[in-house]
Amino acid sequence: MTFMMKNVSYSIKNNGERKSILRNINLEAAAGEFVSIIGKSGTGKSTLLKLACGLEKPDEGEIMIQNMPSVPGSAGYMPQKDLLLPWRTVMDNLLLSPELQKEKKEKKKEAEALLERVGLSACQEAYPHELSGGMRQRIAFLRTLLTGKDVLFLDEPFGALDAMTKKDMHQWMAALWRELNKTIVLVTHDLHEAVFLSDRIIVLHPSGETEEIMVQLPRPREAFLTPEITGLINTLESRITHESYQGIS
Amino acid sequence: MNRIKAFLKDYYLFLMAAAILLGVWEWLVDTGRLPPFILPAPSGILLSLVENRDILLMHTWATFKETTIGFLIAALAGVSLAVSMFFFKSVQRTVYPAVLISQTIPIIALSPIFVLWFGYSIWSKVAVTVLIAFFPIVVSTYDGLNHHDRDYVDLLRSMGARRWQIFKKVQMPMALPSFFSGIKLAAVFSVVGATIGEWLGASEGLGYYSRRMSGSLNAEGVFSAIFLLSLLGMCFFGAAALAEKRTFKWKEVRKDVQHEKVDETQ
Repeated sequence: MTFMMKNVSYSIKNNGERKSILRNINLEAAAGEFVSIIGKSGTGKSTLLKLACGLEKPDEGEIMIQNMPSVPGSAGYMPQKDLLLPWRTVMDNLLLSPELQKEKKEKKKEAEALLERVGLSACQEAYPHELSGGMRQRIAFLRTLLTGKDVLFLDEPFGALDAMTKKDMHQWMAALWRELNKTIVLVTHDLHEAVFLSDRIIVLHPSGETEEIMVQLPRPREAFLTPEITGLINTLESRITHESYQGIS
Repeated sequence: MNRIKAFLKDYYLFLMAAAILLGVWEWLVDTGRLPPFILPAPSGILLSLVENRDILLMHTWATFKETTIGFLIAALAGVSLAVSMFFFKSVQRTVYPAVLISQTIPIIALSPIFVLWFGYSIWSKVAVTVLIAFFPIVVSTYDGLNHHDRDYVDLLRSMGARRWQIFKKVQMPMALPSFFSGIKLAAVFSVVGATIGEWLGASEGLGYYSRRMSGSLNAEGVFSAIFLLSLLGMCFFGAAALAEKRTFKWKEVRKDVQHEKVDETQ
């Protein structure tokens, strides 16, 4: 497996008390697979991604990326906010990770090619504040690609965008992913986003249990709501809310 | 031309008020309503400036030297201390309280000690300047470094960045706005520091000159020294503000760049 989480538990210390965030999580993703993780807020989705890319250490369990224990730098990570460095041009932002690895010169061509491919060559020398929200998010994704890692973790990357821009981004992302052969694990609470982009969706329940739903729709997928997509969204919704009813009773 | 226009647009009210104030002031003294040994007329001060220009230039140069050396030492020491406090909590715990307490000691009370140590040389004045300028630089730099965004640190860590790289690429640039606030304050305080130092023991400098003139009841002389000191302060502030502006050049709105027009849906 390209990415694997086995019996992972995580808790934080809050005023001297241990508060459990994740219990016994098991996850995996195959090479080139697009997996989404959905769940209500507060189920620890973001924490899960931070654990996955080695930013936090689990209390128990193991996390492997390409058969190696995950440490910072094992995978690409894209948070919800674009986090472009405002004092750097688009190009310098793209080359941030190569710069840290001291391979800025070698990767410049690749960055230019990527910009060209997505039609953003014109803004190479622009500063982030000169770009729209959607464009910043695209640049942030390209920056994640330029880490050169095979596994990418995306934490609600389109959460802050307006509905129309978001829809464009979904198609953009789907098209790009098909050419790239990257393993992507996406955390989201947008069910349509999950269905539109993923091969497999994992529902994360507050109890820590997980449920898997395969999305066997042919690609490229329709941007509008077909009966199949609506059906899947309804299934997902019932799975998520079902859990919450149990919680109340 | 456009710059002059922009300047006038921003400051015309201030310039007008200053002109009116100077006019009224001149009129009050000229008509004998205020004796010139209490408040000399602006024209008198100007005349005194022109007449004593050589000696004033020499004193200005002396004050300029003390201010510059003191400011540079304070900046260097202040930034170094702030950075080491940021990296090592133990340094912060040891030194920060001492730095805070040092600010409660009246500088004037300390300066006899400096005279004792450094005599009437330039270094007694530099010492007072450093002591005054040091504090705002340490505090602003340290605060700036602590107010970085955790998310950026996580992003860089996810790229495998080391501590020093995170500092260089994210924490340092993010501390700059706060750092420059401190630098601008310190630039102005430096002139004040040098002047205080000169009052307490010096053979040259504008502070020394103004004291000597006050002793001989030469109001014009005192006022021309004050005028030059405030001019010096403005120059130091201006230089710091210019450095700040150049650092944040990326923030400026560029009219020739129209990336916004790149189609959103492509």
